[in-house]
Amino acid sequence: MGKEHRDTVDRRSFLQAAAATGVCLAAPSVLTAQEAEAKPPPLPPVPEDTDTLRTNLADAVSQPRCKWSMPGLYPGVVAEVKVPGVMTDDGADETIVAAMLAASMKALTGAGSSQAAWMQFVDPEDRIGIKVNPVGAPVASTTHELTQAVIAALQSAGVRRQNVVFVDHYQSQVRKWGYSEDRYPGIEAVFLQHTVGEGDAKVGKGFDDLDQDAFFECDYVLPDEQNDLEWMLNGGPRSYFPKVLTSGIDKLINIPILKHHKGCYTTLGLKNLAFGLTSNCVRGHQFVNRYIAEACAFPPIRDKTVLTVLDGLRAQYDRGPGASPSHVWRTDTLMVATDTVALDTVGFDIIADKRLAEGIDTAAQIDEARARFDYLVRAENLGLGVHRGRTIDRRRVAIG
Amino acid sequence: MIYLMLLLAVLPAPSPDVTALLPADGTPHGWSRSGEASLYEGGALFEYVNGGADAYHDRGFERLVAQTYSMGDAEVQLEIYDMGSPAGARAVFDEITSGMDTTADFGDRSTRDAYQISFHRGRYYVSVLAFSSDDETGDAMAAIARAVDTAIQAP
Repeated sequence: MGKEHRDTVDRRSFLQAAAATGVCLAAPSVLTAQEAEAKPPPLPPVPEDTDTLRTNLADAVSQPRCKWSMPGLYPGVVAEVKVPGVMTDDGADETIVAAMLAASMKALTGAGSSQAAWMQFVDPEDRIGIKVNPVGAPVASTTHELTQAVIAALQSAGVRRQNVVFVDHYQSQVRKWGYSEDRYPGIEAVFLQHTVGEGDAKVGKGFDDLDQDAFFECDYVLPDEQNDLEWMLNGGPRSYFPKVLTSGIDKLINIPILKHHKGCYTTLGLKNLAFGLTSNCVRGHQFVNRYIAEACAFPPIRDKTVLTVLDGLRAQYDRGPGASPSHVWRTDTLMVATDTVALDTVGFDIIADKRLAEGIDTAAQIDEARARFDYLVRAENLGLGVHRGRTIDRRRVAIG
Repeated sequence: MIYLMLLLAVLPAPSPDVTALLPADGTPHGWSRSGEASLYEGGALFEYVNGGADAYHDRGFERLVAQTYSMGDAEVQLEIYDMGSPAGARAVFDEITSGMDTTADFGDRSTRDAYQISFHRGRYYVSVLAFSSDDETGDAMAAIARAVDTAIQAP
């Protein structure tokens, strides 16, 4: 466990210990603590201007970039394939999904074959991480049909199956999503965090698997009560990247989905990376624009995410990120890009257009959301991709 | 003795066992629990729904029990949120069902569409979620929601 955790006797443990020893019936100080139990301390105030928060972003920006650094090989390009009917009541048609992926990859790269397209991004010796979005299963999460198609494409490019690994935040979410050794034979899953125990006894494990030298730091710190340190891996100002990301894999394939999010309007490619691959991210929702953009500017994410495959086979336009089947619609679309900022820009518009069409948001409310949730502007300003700086090259392709 | 009674009077009441509200197998006939119930307390809610947890935490969230019920391939997902107070339960219900018509079919107020029944009763916000919209699954959703509602009101 981390220093922040080791040095903290959290309030819950203290109360449990006090109750066990009978101290609580005699010590006035414990009564005070128990009174506090009824009313958790409020969150620390967030500055009206979150730009006044201090971060170590300068450390990220100063790191030399590589050929893979965001926005990657094809800045400003989004390749898109739509096949009406690919999604059915029984899921997606695997054959059509594989064809959609191949067509979109060729459109993105200009390669003559799917294999040649994938070989632009991976080498046979590479260890490849895959980051899906497991939240909202089974109707509003990355589809298994697309995930399987990506794995097959990697293998066609020479990547060994045993060198592919799922990387994600919570073990329980990925299990609920449907990862199992039977469904993905030979492919391991590595998590930032897994929990042991239930209820009061639930604790998080995995701190030793975080890279102590790779972190996004911000001086917005939650009190112990909100961090629930007996469950979180670490509190404090640092959000660490996992060792599997910094040294366990060579490249990462990001497979997010198209989904509304109450806290930041959409959850697409960048959010899937920023919140899915850092510890102590709960506080990040209090300064979500900076957290998304700046966490992605650090080398572990910026330099290893070589491709984002947006699963738009179905999408959820309201009440996300949890599943709300009433608000899921079949979009029958798949998009690929190395420029996740450009991809998210397109995805934002799709969700916004649907909410407008459904009468959930007015045009003015959408404009307000764009202004309020400005993480794409911030990401563009950090050189991570194209948002409004120039026209996005949307390459729509059809398959027979 | 008097000191002890006074002391107990100022101590907060112990939180109720939210897992006791879960309907037993056979509610309705043919449906049963699928897997173990999952219990999330405090910040652990983020493990269940990530950023969606803020809407609950801001309104006093204490714990959630989630349980899947199934019959054949059909599944219904039950979530019972202990919000710590009726005001907290009402507030999170209002937030999550904003814009929807409410009825008194379940709990103090409820909403229902083809895939979901939501209601609040006392300190609890309850969601019953299905992933298909056939009549049989809809009937199961209603039976499970009613069983939870009854359990909440039991003395």
